[in-house]
Amino acid sequence: MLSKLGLFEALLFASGEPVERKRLMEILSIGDQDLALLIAQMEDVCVEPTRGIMLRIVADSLQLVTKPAAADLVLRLTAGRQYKISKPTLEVLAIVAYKQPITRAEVEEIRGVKCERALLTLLEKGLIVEVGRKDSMGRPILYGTTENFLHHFNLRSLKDLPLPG
Amino acid sequence: MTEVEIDCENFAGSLTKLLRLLLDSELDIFALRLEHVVEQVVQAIMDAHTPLAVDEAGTHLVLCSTMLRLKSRRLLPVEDLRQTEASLHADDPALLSIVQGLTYESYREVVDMLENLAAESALLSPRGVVAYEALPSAGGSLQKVSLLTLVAAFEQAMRLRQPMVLEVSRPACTLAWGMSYVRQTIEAQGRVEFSCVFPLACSRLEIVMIFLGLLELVRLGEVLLRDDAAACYLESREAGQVA
Repeated sequence: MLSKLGLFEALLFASGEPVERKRLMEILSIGDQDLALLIAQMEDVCVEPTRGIMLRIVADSLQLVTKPAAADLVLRLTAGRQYKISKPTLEVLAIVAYKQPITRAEVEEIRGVKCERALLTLLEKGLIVEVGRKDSMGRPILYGTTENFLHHFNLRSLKDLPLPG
Repeated sequence: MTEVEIDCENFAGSLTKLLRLLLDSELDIFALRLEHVVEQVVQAIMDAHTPLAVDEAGTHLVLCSTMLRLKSRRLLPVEDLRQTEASLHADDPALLSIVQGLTYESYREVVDMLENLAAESALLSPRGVVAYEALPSAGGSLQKVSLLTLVAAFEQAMRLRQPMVLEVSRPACTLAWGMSYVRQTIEAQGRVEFSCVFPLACSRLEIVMIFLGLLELVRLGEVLLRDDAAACYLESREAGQVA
């Protein structure tokens, strides 16, 4: 019979996508502490050089990913590269990430140029999302980052964002 | 721009960072002896070994004068302060541009860090995920089919195929069913007009599932979409490559 760790690994492997902690606890019928223990055990196992995968923790989700050392080979297998974001778009994303929730006008005030196109691109890529409306004239849309944003930059939470200056 | 490093009793770092912290009130301006700051800036400007360019020296002096001005304004009585803080930006375009410049500069610094993080993150691949650009090409013809065309064709299909029965769908009506139905239709008929993919008698849910199945097959590269002048056509990838 498989151990809890084996079942935990199987679930993450089968999903491929990030799985929420809550969901894992439900399926495995375990509590917070047990899950934390499983995560620690999994990280210990994955740290071995004989393993090609590792655990990625983003926000409240867990995911199995290949190790950076295997990146070259994996890229040869998938024959692809991850999409790149242009510098101006990345600037807009940085402003949204640090100042969220923020309106388009506020982003434009900081950058000094229009940024409608960049915001649309970021919305399409699922890196930002509308999080509400500002209580001011015209009730402009407020933007914030998504969990996909954390995945894209491999951040556990917004607190892990690099500090400017 | 060459940064001037400041080292005071309660701050160590660049001059621009110091001003940013003061403007954001994250550092108490009254706890800072500005004469020490100015002395260090003047020293850096006058440094015989590495003299600063005139424009850079000018910028640093403006930053110093901004700090002095900020401190003097904050020494005003509270009521006056409210007025002056409110009009601080409005009546001083130079200060406004400095504040904007500093804020913008800080985000530009972050962009490089974010790029590095994204590059590191790109080295980690989850299971079964094919990178964005590695998805099989839909043969180039997909680029000629706009989303609006697809939506228009879908709406037309919805209009033409009014449900003949109550909206009670079979349990088998899933995305997998939709994909399988599109595959079978294309295999049987070869090139199919978009609106003809949907069966004559079907529920709205079935139409939606067939449409989603079709989109999934296009994403997987199994089906090609071609947009002729008259209509939008579907065909299998193999047939498209032969053509």
